[in-house]
Amino acid sequence: MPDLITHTAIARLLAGPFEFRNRSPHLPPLRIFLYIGVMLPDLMSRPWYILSPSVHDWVVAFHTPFGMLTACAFAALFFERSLRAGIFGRLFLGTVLHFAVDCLQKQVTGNNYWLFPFSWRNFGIGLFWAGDAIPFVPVWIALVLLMEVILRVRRVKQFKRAHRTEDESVEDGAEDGAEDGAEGSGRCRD
Amino acid sequence: MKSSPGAAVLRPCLLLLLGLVLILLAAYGAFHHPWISYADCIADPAACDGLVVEEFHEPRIGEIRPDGFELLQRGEAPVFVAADTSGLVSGEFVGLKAVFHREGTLTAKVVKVASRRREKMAVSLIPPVLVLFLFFRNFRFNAKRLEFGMRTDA
Repeated sequence: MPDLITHTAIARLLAGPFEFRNRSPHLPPLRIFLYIGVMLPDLMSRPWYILSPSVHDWVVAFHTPFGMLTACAFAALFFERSLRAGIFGRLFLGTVLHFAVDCLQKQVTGNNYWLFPFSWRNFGIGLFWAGDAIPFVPVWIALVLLMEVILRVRRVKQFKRAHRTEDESVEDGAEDGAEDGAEGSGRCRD
Repeated sequence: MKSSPGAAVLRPCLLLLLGLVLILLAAYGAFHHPWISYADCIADPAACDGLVVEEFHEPRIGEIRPDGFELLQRGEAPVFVAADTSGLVSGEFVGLKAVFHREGTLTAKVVKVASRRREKMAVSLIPPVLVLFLFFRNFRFNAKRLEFGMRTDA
């Protein structure tokens, strides 16, 4: 598996452009579930066997799409009912992105059992070794920061433009109201 | 949001069901995997003679000799692996597939130094911490309902 910065940065760079049309100055809190999902397969398997290597075989199921589908549904049930579907969808989409990136790396032994528990077939394209991605971590961070700045500037501009339009329409409404009032009073005078 | 009595029963049932599925998947992975571990072979060396071992406990390269290297594992005694030692670095983690011999030694089939694995583990700690911070900034646990809800003050 590549490191979690690479995984998260790729997900952020793919998801970021979808926020270009977001008109709110605040970001929807549910978006973090995509990034939790991207990390979930590794967080549910790697730390446990690094700490205790004998549990390796017990956690292999958590680094598979079917295991993650179940785990995402389980996790989503710990949220308010109105949020569950959105959280489940984002978590699982994140895990799919994780497996897609994992399959690009070379392996000595298996790591991508996409058909588990129905088959132990290992999928992989084998383009790079996990360690090869480490020197690119600063590049990923720089790209994500650049995108965040662009998104932030764009959001603030959109927010200001929306407020300006709102203020102008309120002012126009007030002027119209004043004119109407004057006409009305004139009529009264008549 | 107020939940109906049906939904109140459904949630614990789903949690139980999904929890059970997760346990069964974990058990299936533990007992029906196709690979052979070094620990299995040490438990029954005669049965594993000539078989390819794919699972080791956090394997690292120890002393490098002209005809192979010493394999260090967490909780296991060092073992000699006959291998081509070009490119190997003592102290590094290693990806290994090796043929087991009943004497307890191994002959490497595939050896790949897992370079920068320590750096990989170190940088991998950063995103979970960041996301955990963002999570608790936006969500709060309701102990009464045993569920997270969005913070209204976020």
